[in-house]
Amino acid sequence: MPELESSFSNVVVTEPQGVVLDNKTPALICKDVGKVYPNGTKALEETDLVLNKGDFLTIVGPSGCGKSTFLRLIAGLLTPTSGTIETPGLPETKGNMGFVFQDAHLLPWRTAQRNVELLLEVVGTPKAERAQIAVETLEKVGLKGFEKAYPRELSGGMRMRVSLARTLVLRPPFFLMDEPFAAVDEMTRHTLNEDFLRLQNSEGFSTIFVTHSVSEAVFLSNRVVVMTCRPGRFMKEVSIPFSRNRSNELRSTPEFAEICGAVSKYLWEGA
Amino acid sequence: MNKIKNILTNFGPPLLLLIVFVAAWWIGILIFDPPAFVVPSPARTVNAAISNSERLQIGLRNTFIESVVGITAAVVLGVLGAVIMSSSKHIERALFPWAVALQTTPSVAIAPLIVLWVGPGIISVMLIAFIVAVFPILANTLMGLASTDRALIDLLRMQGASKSTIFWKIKIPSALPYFFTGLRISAGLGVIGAIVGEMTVGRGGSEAGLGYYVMFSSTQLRTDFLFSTILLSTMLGLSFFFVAYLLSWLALRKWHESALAPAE
Ligand SMILES: Nc1ncnc2c1ncn2[C@@H]1O[C@H](COP(=O)(O)OP(=O)(O)OP(=O)(O)O)[C@@H](O)[C@H]1O
Ligand SMILES: [Mg+2]
Repeated sequence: MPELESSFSNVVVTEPQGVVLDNKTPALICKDVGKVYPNGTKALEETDLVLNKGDFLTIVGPSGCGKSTFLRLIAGLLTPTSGTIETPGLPETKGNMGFVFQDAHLLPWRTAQRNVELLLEVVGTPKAERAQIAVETLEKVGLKGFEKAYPRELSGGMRMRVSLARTLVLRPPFFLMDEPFAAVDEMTRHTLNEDFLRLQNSEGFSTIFVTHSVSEAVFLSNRVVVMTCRPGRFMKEVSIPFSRNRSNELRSTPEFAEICGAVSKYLWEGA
Repeated sequence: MNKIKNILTNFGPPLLLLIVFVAAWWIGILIFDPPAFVVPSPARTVNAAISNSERLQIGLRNTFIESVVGITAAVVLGVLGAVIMSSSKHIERALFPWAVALQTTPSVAIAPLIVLWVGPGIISVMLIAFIVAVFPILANTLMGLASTDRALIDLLRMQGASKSTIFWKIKIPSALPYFFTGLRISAGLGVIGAIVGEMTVGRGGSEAGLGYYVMFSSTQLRTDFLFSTILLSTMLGLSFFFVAYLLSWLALRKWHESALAPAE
C-alpha cells in the first residue's frame, strides 16, 4: 500500500484498503458498491472495502454522505444498485450481524431484562436460558441491578447500554453501529467508549462504526475511513497505531491529538 | 389515608361542581317558578325517576346491552379492519375512504334504511351504535400500527423475524395506546349511538331503551320523566367512558406516559 505524502509525521494515511490482504479470510468484502435510492438520490458510489476479522473500522464523513446507507446495505436492509457485498468470514446464519442505532429504540413496555431478551426470542432461545443470558449480559454492560427497570426509569446512557446488551446477547461476530453514542453527554460517551472497547477486545468481534466525533473514531478504531459527499465515496484511510488496550489517558497524549488533527483535516477537505 | 386523599383530589372538584349545579337549578326554580313541563325541579325529577323506576330499569338494561354489543363489535371489526388496512397501502387506499364515508353519513339519515332492511328493534339499534363507534377505533388503531418504530422492525428483520413475530412483538404493543385513545372516544359515542338509535329505529315495550323513553316522555310533555331519563343516559355514558379509561390505565400503567402518575 503506497503511503501518501503527509504533513503529520506519525500518521499513516493510505487509499481506503479495498483489496484482500495476506491469506486471511476477511469478514467483509465490498466491491464497487453503489446505491441509488428509488427517488434518484445517489447516496453511494464505487465503494470498495475489505474488513478483516477483529477490525474496528470507523467511518467519518459529512452529514448526508451515505454512512447510514452503507451500514444498511451491509446489514441487508437495503440492496445495492451496483457492486457486491460478501461476508466470507461470517457464518451464513441469521444473527451473524448486530446493529446498534443512534437512539436506544427500546420497547417501553418491557423491562430492561425483557428488552435484552427480545432478539433471543426471535431466534428461538429457550425461556430459562434467555433470562440467564440477559441477566449476565446486563451485568457485562454495567447494569447489574437494573433488570426490572423500565426504559423510562433509565438515563440516556443506561438506555444505550441496554440497547447494546440487546445486540450483544446474540454474540454476533460482526457489529454495525450507526452513531450509537451520539445522543449522550461527553463524559458518558467516554465511559461507554472505554467499556465497548473492552467488550470488543474480550469478545473479539469485528466492528464498523459510524460517528461524527473524530476523537471517538480515533479512540476506538484501528482503521478510520474518511468519506466525501455527493455521491458518497471513501476518500482516505488513516491507520491508528495504538495497542488495542486503550484507556481514557490516551486522549490526552500528543500522538492522539496529532492523529485526530489529521483525520479532521481530511474530513474538511472532503466536505 | 393516602388513598382517601387521592380520591378526594380526583373526585372532589367535579362533585363540588355537581352540588353547585343542583343548588343553582333549585334556586332558579324557586326564583323564576317556571311551569313544571318546561323545567321541573330536582325533587320532581327524582320523583319521576322513582315512580317510573320499572321503565327506567328496562330502558337502562336494553340501552346497556345495545351499547355493549355495538362497542364490542366496533372493537373487534375496527381492530380487524385496521390490521387488514395496515398490511397493505393499496388496501388502505381502497378501504379507508369508505370508512370515512360511513362515519360522516349521519346515522339518523340511514336509520330509515336500516329499519327497511333489518326491521325496527334491538338489532337495528346495535347496528347504529356500531356504526357510530367503529371509526375512532379503526382510525386510531390504524395510526398506531403505522407509526411503529422503523428501526425496531429492521432490528427484528435482520435476525430473520417473521411478519407475525414483528406484528405481535412490536406492532401490536406500539398500537395499544392509540387503540385505547380510540376506545375512550368510542365508548361514549357507542352509548350516544344506541340512544339515537332507540329514538329512530327502536321499539317500545320490553325492547324499550332510554332513547325510546326520551321520545315517549317528550311527546307526552312529561318533562320530569324526560329529565330523569336524560340524567340516567348521561350516567350510563359516563360509566362507559370510565370503564374504557380504567381498561386503558390497567393496560398501560406500567409504561405509557398517558397512564403514569404525573411527576411530583
Ligand atoms: N430512504 C431514502 N430515500 C431516498 N433518499 C435517501 C433515503 N435515505 C437516505 N437518503 C439520502 O441518501 C443520502 C445519504 O443518506 P445517509 O442517511 O446514508 O447519510 P449519513 O451519512 O448517514 O448522514 P448523517 O451523518 O446525517 O446520519 C442523503 O442525501 C439522504 O437524503
Ligand atoms: Mg446516518
